[in-house]
Amino acid sequence: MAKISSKSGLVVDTNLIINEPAKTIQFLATGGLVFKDGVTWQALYSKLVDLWATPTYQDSEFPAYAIDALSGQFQIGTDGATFSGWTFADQSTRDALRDGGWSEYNDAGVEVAQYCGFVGLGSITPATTVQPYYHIDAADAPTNFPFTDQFNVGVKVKDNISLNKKVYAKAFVREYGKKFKSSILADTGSVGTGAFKQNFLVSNEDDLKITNLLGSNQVTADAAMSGAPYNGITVAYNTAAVQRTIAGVARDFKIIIEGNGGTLEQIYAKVQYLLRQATDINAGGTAGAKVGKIQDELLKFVGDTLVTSQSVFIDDVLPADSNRVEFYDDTNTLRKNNYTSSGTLEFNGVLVGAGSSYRLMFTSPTGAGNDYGEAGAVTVNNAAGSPITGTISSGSIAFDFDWNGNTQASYAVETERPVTLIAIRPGYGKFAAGTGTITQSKTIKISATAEADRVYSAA
Amino acid sequence: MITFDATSKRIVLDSASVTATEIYSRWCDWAASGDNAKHGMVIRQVGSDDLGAGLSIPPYYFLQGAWRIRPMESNHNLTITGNLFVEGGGVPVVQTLGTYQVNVNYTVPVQAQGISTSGGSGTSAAAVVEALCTDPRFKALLTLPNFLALKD
Repeated sequence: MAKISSKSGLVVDTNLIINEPAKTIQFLATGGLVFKDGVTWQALYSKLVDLWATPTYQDSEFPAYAIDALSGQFQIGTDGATFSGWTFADQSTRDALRDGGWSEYNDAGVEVAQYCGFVGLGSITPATTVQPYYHIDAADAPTNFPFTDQFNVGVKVKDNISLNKKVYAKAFVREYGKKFKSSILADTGSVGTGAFKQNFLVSNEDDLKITNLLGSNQVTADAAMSGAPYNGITVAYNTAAVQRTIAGVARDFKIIIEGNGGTLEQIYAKVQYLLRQATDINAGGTAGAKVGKIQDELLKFVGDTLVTSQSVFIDDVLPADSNRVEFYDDTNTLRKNNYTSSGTLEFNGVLVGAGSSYRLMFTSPTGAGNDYGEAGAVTVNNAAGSPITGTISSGSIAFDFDWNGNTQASYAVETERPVTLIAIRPGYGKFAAGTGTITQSKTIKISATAEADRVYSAA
Repeated sequence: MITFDATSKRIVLDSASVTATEIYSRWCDWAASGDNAKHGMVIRQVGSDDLGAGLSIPPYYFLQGAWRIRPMESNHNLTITGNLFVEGGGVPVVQTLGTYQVNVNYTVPVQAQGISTSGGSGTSAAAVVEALCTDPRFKALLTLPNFLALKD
């Protein structure tokens, strides 16, 4: 079925009940009316006009008033001049109204309720099961819209008792395997809600970062969150900024994600999981309880680069991922880590084991006496500033390098460096040297291959 | 103890008798220690490939660059055993720092094959001599004139 947008789709005593004594209007889910699809306010209003053009209904006051159909401003219980007290028979009828907001007046002329017509623009999936939700106060718990799929429904924002929440509204769609989306009034230039139609920019699309990592089955994916590394990936919301150092400069952040050494995809997956939860997800932060599903989105992928929202930082990111994560600090300024080149030092089997030694040196830097083979030869430092040397514990040893910051041997930052890797394991592997170049890359490989040492004598 | 002076590129001996293998081995130890490897290769070694039956190609050692051997500081006869050379040619041993007379005696193998005499599975030296003496090719060469020529 489809939304009834013409008065012809409404048939009195079939899917439309007009109760003149009780002054109520009611929809019934029959005769082509499906509540989820609904009826437009304009169709209802037009039908009422036609009915009241007949003698049958003219003995009753006209029930409704249309201020403007385009902006979706309607009233019930008044004809625009007098107040009759007409109303809707039940909440199901209200939930079936589309493309409009409205005020409800009692016969004394008191506005007893104000419904804003929340209309989501865009496509949301998975079809028939996606459940959007909203809240009309930042401190309110989330409320599901009455139907699945894209919403177009009246939400009560004011009554004549205590409810009056017309300055804030936010709609969300957060489904497993889909990119999250939320929309606030400002997205459409609005500053408040009321008895009119209010659009929200809510759509979603497949999130391949999630499904490629965890598959399409939400149950198994959610179950994985209790295992490593996901169980150690948490979010802390703080009231006061805490500092984190990026590229040597301390920056302020209020939301700190503990990455627990997971990949960026794993961190993202856990955070998206947390943001679907109806429970407090604040782990150790000072900002009090934070219900996951109404918190702002914290992370998004732009290609393979993970970008945080304002004031969000991630601790304990893998070194290999340090240059595909970008942070917006508390001032909403984009901050990036220095580039950390990385790669592996490769050794053949005779070099691996106790008594071995390796060292990476600049081959021929500027200046005298500091080439490899000379007394002033310079050992390359890793990103943490420690010399790249040690025992050859395996055939492949990872290393990293501060591409933006290393000025050893009078090199300018961000310049390629010819290097020499030497290795020896007395009694097993002869002295071996291999050359390579440190570049702005994450996949540098430098190899040293030695012959078996058959003559070494330990005596 | 053999020491390595990276500044002057000298391998400094402290005894009157040393093998090339010993020099090479101590350099391996030295290179694997601290940042000594930054000085690069000091001695290149080739050979010693296993030929089976306890035989192997003799090892050869080549001093690299300006690296040379300096005897201990005393008058003595220095014996260096093994195929020790300078890469590209040259004299492996330089003078002492002080004024001493050092006579250097190089003792090198005459065979093209090394003989393993250690361990239980290798061929003994006696067995090798026995094999040579019964080898018809060797016997054909070992004529009286040849033997006398060798003796001279």
